[in-house]
Amino acid sequence: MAFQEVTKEYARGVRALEGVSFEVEEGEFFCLIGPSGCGKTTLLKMVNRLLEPTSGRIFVYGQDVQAWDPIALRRSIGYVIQQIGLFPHLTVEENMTYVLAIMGVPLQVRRQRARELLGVIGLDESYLRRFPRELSGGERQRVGVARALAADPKLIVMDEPFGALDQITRMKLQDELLELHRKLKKTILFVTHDLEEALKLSTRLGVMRGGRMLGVGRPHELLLTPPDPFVEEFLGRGGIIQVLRAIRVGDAPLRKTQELPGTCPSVPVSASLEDALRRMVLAARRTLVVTEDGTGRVVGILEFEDLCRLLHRYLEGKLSFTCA
Amino acid sequence: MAFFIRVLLLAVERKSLVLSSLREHVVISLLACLFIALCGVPLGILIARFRRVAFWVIATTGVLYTIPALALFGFMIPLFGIGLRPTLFALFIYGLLPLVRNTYVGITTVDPAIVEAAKGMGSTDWQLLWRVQIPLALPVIVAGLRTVVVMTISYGHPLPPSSVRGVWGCSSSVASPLTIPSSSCLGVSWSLHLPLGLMGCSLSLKGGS
Ligand SMILES: Nc1ncnc2c1ncn2[C@@H]1O[C@H](COP(=O)(O)OP(=O)(O)O)[C@@H](O)[C@H]1O
Ligand SMILES: [Mg+2]
Repeated sequence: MAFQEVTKEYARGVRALEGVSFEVEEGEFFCLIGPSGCGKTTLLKMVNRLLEPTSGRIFVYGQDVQAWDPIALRRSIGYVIQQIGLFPHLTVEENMTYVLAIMGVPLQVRRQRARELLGVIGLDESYLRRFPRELSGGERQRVGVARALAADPKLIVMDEPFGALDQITRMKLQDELLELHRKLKKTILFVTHDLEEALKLSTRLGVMRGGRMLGVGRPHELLLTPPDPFVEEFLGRGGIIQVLRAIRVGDAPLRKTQELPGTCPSVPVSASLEDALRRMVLAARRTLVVTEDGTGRVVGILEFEDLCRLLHRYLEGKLSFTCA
Repeated sequence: MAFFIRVLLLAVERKSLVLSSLREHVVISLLACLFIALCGVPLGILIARFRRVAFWVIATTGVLYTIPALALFGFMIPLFGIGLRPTLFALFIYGLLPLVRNTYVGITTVDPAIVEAAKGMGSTDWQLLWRVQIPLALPVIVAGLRTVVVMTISYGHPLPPSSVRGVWGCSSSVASPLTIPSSSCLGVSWSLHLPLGLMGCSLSLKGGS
């Protein structure tokens, strides 16, 4: 998926987007983050042609969206909107399989798929016959996600899906979504105004303000070498704990393994540096073995000193900004 | 009390006339409701789609609605004469507004987030209408329909249905024998409308829950 110099102007000259360009690779979890009103929703709606750009081009699955039939395009993209928007007159089952129904998939297949989807989002079959008003906020949002997954789209766009949830439910759903992303290997374009959420979820993120894309990169790249003062200011709010949380072990400077220190505690590459630090503290060791997810193959060694150096770099960068 | 007894006696005396009028009344009301439903609902849907004309359509049906019944018949008798057609036409004109307006309001007040979700998932306009907008607007549309039914039954009164004998006043069964004192004529007419009206009201209350 890609945006090329996209500009959107609403009636009466409101400029919601100005010359936005970025790309999302297959399998990425891309977060768009920025303060309210910076044009995130506008951008998202142009992906499935609910809005048309004033100028510029947008590519989905490598093809210009203008060449797509809008209906076919929308059916091939999972869509979770800000207010969830479940259909109040349809049961959970009918909600989840709505896309399949409008595509003319036979009822039998839809029934089957609804049961699979419930498994994916971790609800049991008693939910099939319920109506949205009989669900909690978290359950509704899960159903919203399942609905977007129904036709097995390769790309899913989500507009602040967890914005209205309480902290605990939100964290839980974030974890579940990460797990889903790992398992299903979908490309996700996720809009949020919550920095912590973006840093936790994204493999890459784009920071927006006032209709412009200020910086795109992996969380640690943006944190350590911010391309724009606003990005720095915006990302710098959380302090060093935030940095540790945002950076994956795999993105930290690892040392080659000379000999296998068998007694060292290990940490997977996908874990955050915060996790790594916790393990060091709990095990009272300055060294961790870093292993590949799933296989458990050793890929390197993480030293406490390297962690400190990384944080030092970050704090220095920040200092120089505040002095300037 | 004596008045009601006289009304009752009159009705019993002219039983066959009363019954045939009642039948006519029911048939005409049903026919009118059917026409109104067949035109009003699609019209409401159409103007919900093309909102620029919505104001004008609702304003027009509103103006029609305000024409006094007597004036309307004054216009219509030269055009249609007397009988079934003008009665149906008049009922149609009066019943259109509530249904068109309710249909329009029902469809345009469906939560925009839900409409957007349906569109964003790839519904065609037709699918959006049938699978989302109409089902969600249905309670409001049905409420409009109930108003129309009650109204049609009560308005069925100004022009004698298919009868040529009576023109103004109550129902033909009462208006024709001019020898009968007029207050009891009206009484019979009213006693015809009352049960029908009550039926309509109970229908509208039942569905309201
Ligand atoms: N339909 C519209 N007409 C005019 N201006 C709009 C419309 N929708 C959004 N805007 C404006 O465009 C800007 C971006 O809005 P939006 O994309 O919703 O921001 P975000 O989702 O980041 O909060 C805002 O300044 C908003 O006022
Ligand atoms: Mg928004």
